[in-house]
Amino acid sequence: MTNSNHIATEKSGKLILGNKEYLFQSCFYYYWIQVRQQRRRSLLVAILKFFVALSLLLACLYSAKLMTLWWQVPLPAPLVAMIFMLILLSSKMIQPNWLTPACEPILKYMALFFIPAGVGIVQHTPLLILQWPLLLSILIVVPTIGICLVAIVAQKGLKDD
Amino acid sequence: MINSLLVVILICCLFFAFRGLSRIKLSPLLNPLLLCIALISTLLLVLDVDYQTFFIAAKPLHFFLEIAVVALAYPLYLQFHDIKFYFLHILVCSFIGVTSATLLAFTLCEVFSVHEQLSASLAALSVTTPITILISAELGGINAIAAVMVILVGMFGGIFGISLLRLLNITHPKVMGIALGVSCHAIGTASAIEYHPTAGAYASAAMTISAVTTAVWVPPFYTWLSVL
Repeated sequence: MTNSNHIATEKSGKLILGNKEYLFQSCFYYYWIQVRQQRRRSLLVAILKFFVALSLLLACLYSAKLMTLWWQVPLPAPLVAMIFMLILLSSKMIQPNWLTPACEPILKYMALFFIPAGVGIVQHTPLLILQWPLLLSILIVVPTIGICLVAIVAQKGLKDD
Repeated sequence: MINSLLVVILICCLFFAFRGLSRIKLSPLLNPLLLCIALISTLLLVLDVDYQTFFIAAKPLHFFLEIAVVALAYPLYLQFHDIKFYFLHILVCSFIGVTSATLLAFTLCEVFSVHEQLSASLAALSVTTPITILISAELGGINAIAAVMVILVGMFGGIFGISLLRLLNITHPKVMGIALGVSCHAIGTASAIEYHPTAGAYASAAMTISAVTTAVWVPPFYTWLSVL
């Protein structure tokens, strides 16, 4: 009796009132099925939303690649795609919340995508050993001068306001 | 295919493990990306695996690099309302920062009289790694050296940036954010966010704007410099 009742509940997802003594149990069961279904549905929706956002980004990227090939634009295609996406967003043709499901995880874990390119350093160990004084001096000079110069310029500009 | 899946899973596991480690102990020295690159490089050298085989296997991750550049449009759009009044200002600052970085790196390369390939890979050091990789590939440089140098420059800024700015007697969070974002990209931005939320917002805006400036300005500027 109970078993068949539960199976019926599970299949239809609706509460079928059986014996009174099982009422509490089946109420709980009904609630649990609802939660489970909702969870499954929201997971599915999240995955779908991620792929919609990703395909928007991909469409933008590949149209930019085509354009740069077609007109011989001397800019990297992903950057053209980014500017293109910015134009689409500011002209309200794409809502920003359509992009959120893909953009947030991609930007959060962006560092992960540099690993394959960065490991390429194993190919150039002789060069590194040969040129380490240059690399070290660049490493110290470029950020120091850059930070100081930009900070001074930025402060002057902000004071003028 | 299975190879590729295994490599990608291995890289992801390593990356998230190191990320967790750097979360426990907040320090720019424990950069998960750099630790990952160091560990995988040593693994490749020890196991005597050819880099090309590794790269082909890890291609799916590399593919996302270009998508990540497109995705940068999203935070820039969201911040655009807040920084509208300072947009031109940040643009000028990023232009100056990017030009000085390229000029300094080029001068140092000339002083040490290195090969053209190496100086091309050091041309764009003050921007986010994806843009640097794109530009160094365009100029005929070495991707990997550009990527690692950019990360190291960022780490330098992340460690010493704020104390350097204090030394210069600059405490305005907006100015600090712009300086760190322009010259130390994402890692500098992270330290700016830690310091002050306003500084963080300005730093990430400055980072994105300087990425665009670099991509437009550095290739012609660098070719002009090397012709001279």
